[in-house]
Amino acid sequence: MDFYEALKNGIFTQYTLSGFNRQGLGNMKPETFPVPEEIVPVSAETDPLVLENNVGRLAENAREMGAAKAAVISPEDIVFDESLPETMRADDALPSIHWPPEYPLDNLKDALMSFRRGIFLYIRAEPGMPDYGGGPIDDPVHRDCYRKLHEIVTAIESRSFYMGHYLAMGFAAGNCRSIFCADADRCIAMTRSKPCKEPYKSRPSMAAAGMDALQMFRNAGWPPDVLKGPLLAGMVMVA
Amino acid sequence: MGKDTEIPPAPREMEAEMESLRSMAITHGASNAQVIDADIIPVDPRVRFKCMIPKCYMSGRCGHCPPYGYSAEKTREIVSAGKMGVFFHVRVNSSIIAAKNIGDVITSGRADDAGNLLSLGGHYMLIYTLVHMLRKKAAEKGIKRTQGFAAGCCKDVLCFLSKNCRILNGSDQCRNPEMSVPSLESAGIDAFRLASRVGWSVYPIGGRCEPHSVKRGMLMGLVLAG
Repeated sequence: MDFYEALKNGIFTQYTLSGFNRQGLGNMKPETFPVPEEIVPVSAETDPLVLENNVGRLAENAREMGAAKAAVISPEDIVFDESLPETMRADDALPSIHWPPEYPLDNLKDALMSFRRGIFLYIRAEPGMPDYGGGPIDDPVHRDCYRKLHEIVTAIESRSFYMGHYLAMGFAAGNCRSIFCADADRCIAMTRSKPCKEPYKSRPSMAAAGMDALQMFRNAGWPPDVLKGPLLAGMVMVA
Repeated sequence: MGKDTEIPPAPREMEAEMESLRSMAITHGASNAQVIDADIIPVDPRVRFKCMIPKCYMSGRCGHCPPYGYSAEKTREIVSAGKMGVFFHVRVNSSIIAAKNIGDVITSGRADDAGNLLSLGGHYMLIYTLVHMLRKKAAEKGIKRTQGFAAGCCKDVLCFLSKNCRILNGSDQCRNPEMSVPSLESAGIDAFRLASRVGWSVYPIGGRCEPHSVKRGMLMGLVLAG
């Protein structure tokens, strides 16, 4: 059965925005997310069937790690809003390398539209949790909510990488500095020649990178009661 | 690519010259090398973002690494102006490139007891040297329009003992103008895909890799001629 035949026969419907129904792989926690014992070489061209299978597994992994919902998306599902980074720029109490990100020579939209599949997900916020914007986040429990989202996003990105999808790119929510470097005087990554202190955990927020996660959430038809609090949504474009 | 008014070699002649450059790469240390058509070189806007999300310690460290250097658009122009290239790689044992804590060692720039930092640096230096050597030889053969692409960050390899990249400090005098070239990845060239296209097995090696997880690593370089 080729890819298009499989598509026609509805094999992939279990991975669409409307829902997932596959068997779990066990209770995989982010901290124990394994690097495969043997890593296989990357392929010159990604087999569409393999990709569909992989993104389905990744969405499942995201839910096992605590995502309330995780859906496979296409780049066309990404909603861009160029005014969002400007809004974030005004919320500048804690500037960081990712709040908002600056790519003077590169077009992020072009890059994101080069992917074929990704995962869009969210986790539930604590009841009564405010939207912290760029921070600071005073409540450590609330900070842990953002941290959890970043953990899921980076774990899925890492998993994608070792599956051979080496260009996988993740986005989360909130200002990474207020989540991971709350006690630091400054974001060290903003200094030339200095790396991010938490490269395996921190990612730019979808909003700061110009993506309207709220509209994507609505388009996915997910429960609107979630939007009573801040939306803790993330995205990993896989391949 | 550098401008030149001389008449370049005819296509068949150029193919022969490129083949001799390929052999030269092997003779001088490349593990494998292939002559390729420029139109199989994949330029992908996502590649440069892998240097910036998350910020690699090399990002913004030299005039070639993102957010500086050649944008994917600029690289596309360069590649489309080229005709052929010599694409080569240098194999690196997984015990070095996937050594435990190698990421921390590289980031800190402090030599480790196992000697992995120096050894890896030597492999990178070989890539820059081969690119320089091939371009020089190409010029001698009448192929004056070449562009070289190496691996990693030139600041780390060529100016390891200097505090800053001179170009980023506002000087127009690079310390190593003949040797310094952008890396494939910093210019948005998808080296992994290109390697796969020519039949080489390339493994994704990340910070959490262990030596036993991958058979080998490789560093790649390219000299494009037009």
